[in-house]
Amino acid sequence: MPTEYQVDTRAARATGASLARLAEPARAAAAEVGSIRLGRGSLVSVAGELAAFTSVWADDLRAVGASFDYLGTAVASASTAYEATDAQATATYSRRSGKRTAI
Amino acid sequence: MGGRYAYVGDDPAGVSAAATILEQRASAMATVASSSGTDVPRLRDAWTVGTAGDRAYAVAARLTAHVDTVAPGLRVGADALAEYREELVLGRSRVDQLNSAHQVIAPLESRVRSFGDWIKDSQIAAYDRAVTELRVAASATGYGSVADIDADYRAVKQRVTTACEVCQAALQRARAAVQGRHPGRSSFSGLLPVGLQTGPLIDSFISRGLLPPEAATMTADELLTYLKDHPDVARKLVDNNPGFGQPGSAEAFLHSLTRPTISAPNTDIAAVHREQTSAYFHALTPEEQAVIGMLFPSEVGNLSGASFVARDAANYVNVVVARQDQATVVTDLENKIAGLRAMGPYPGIPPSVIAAYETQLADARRLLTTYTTLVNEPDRQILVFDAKSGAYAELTGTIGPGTRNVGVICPGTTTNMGTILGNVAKYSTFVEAAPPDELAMITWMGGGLPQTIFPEALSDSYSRNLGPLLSSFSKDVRMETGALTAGSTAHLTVAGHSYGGAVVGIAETYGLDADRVMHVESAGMGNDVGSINDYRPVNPDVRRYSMTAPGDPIAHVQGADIGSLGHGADPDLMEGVTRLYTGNYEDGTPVEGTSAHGGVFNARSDSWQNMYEVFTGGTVQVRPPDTVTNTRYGPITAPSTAAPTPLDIP
Repeated sequence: MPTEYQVDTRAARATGASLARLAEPARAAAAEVGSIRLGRGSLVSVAGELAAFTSVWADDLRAVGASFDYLGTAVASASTAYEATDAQATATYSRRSGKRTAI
Repeated sequence: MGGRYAYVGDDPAGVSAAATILEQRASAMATVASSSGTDVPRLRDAWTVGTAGDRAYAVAARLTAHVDTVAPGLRVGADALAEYREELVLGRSRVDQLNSAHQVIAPLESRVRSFGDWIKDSQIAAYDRAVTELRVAASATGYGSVADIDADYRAVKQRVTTACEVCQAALQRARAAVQGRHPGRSSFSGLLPVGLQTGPLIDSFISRGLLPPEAATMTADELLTYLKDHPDVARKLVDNNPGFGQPGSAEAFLHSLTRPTISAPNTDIAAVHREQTSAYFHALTPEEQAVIGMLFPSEVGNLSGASFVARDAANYVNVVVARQDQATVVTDLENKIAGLRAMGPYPGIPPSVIAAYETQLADARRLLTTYTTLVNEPDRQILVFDAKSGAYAELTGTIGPGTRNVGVICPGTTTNMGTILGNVAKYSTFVEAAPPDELAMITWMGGGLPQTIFPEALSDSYSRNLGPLLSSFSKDVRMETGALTAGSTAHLTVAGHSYGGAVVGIAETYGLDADRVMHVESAGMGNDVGSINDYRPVNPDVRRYSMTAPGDPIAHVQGADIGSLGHGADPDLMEGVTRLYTGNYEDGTPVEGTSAHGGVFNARSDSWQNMYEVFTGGTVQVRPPDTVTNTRYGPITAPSTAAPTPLDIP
């Protein structure tokens, strides 16, 4: 396990939030691209290939949206966890100091 | 505008609307790519040292690299559609002109022709007038005859057809750039390095010696390929059972499913676990689902409620190991036969012993061929696999937001792991015939099926083993379909062919979750089943259909039921079941006789079409009631010669 960490938690959290916000436009694009339908009114038609195209790209956009959401949230959570760990260590250190003073 | 000449190609308004959506979304995604490109360096600057920071940066960098390709990909589609639309508009305008010209030229030309080849003197003036009028009209319209107009229409059709093909090719290229292993799926989910959630799990597997150190930086697809090429590592994963794991981890969740639980009386624990498992997996990205499947193949491969992506990845690993085992079986048999042959034909080793081993070897090789095919074709979606029990299920097509119907079909006698891929190919014809992404088919063989008609196929033991499994699997399919279609109203059909019909019947006694049930050349409605009141359908509005071709010998056992022999009521005669017409093959010959038992699946036959209509919720052709003739020897029943009647499936 690594023993060195260097992170600006505030900046990392802000970047995480910024990344997470990019999920929404990707999801909206996925929904709209996925809803494209062309009726088959003629033997000469791109309907089949267009359906395959939109199906794959909608899936791609959904994955992009999920990835931004997941990555951004995870980065923000990690930043909060760093701060919480530091705060907990600080509190533990303070209590131990207090005990020694009392003795 | 109506007329002699029909418009060619798609509706330009629809094409234009699609192009506009793609262009608008391409612009939006270009903005996303720009923002993402700005955020990635910031992430590195904020988190300069630490494993988690390195992982996050690697994920962000690859995500951004991919997002950069999205807007151009969508634009290729938008531009192709816009160019096609221009040709459509021009084409329609031209067709309108041709129809107008035809309205003028056709009657005038007809009038000139009506004079015939020899003009009488009394008609010369009238003829000259008709010719003059035709020439004036030709000058005005630009066409001297209907033949000229027809020729121009053919040119318009050719031009629009070419534009359509150009557009299709562009769409196909842009799709291929992101096409994943499965139809309708992007390859992107397999591009990301192992995610933050599964990263610690991978690390723990490395530290326990279950995976090599290089697995830490593999993508999900790379890990799958690695396991394919390293069956020894795959075997370690298959043999490993989930431990307690870190709280909240996938390992801890899977372990919790194996522990006894305390619940209120009458609680359906299987249903509770299915829901919990589905919720757990669908909270993960598809890539993470696949990784968890690969890491815990024995647990996830057939796990009720696990996402199909996870089950497929798990079963791929299981097949890799089964293939290695089967190769050993084949080698052992080959060595044994070679050893027996080397002993020579002296007394003590009769030829029948060697022949028996050769039969075993042929079977073993067939099985090995199946496993090798599965390993070499990772695009197959394996939902159930168990080498020991001979269980296999494969999904053909895609279950996604556009799915309207999902079919599950259980094959019959003589089907086994060595032959099942033939069934998969046969049933995939329904998917190929349906509009893209609207129908998915699952070939389901949840365990061993009878291999002989007499005595195995007469016994209910196979159906009683498989029925409960099919009942459970139908609920898995329903849950997964709901999760992948955002709770849409995709309809589920469960069908059984031959002995598979008896399996479906027994499954119904355990509670089958289906909107439609179909018996195809079915052995019966399930041992001991006398009426649909013996069933416990999850959906009380389930519709049941049956087809048996005239002359199929299966008719001799339909309705026979004595103890554990036979398979219950006759599917064609049971009240509450709609009997379907089997009609003719595509070449017009009737679907009948012994060959019709399997021939009903011949693509484009009336029987195949009727099955397709059930699977897709269309309009079936109902077989008219048989005619009964009373003779001195008793009543004789024969198929009616009346035409079938159409019936819409609700």
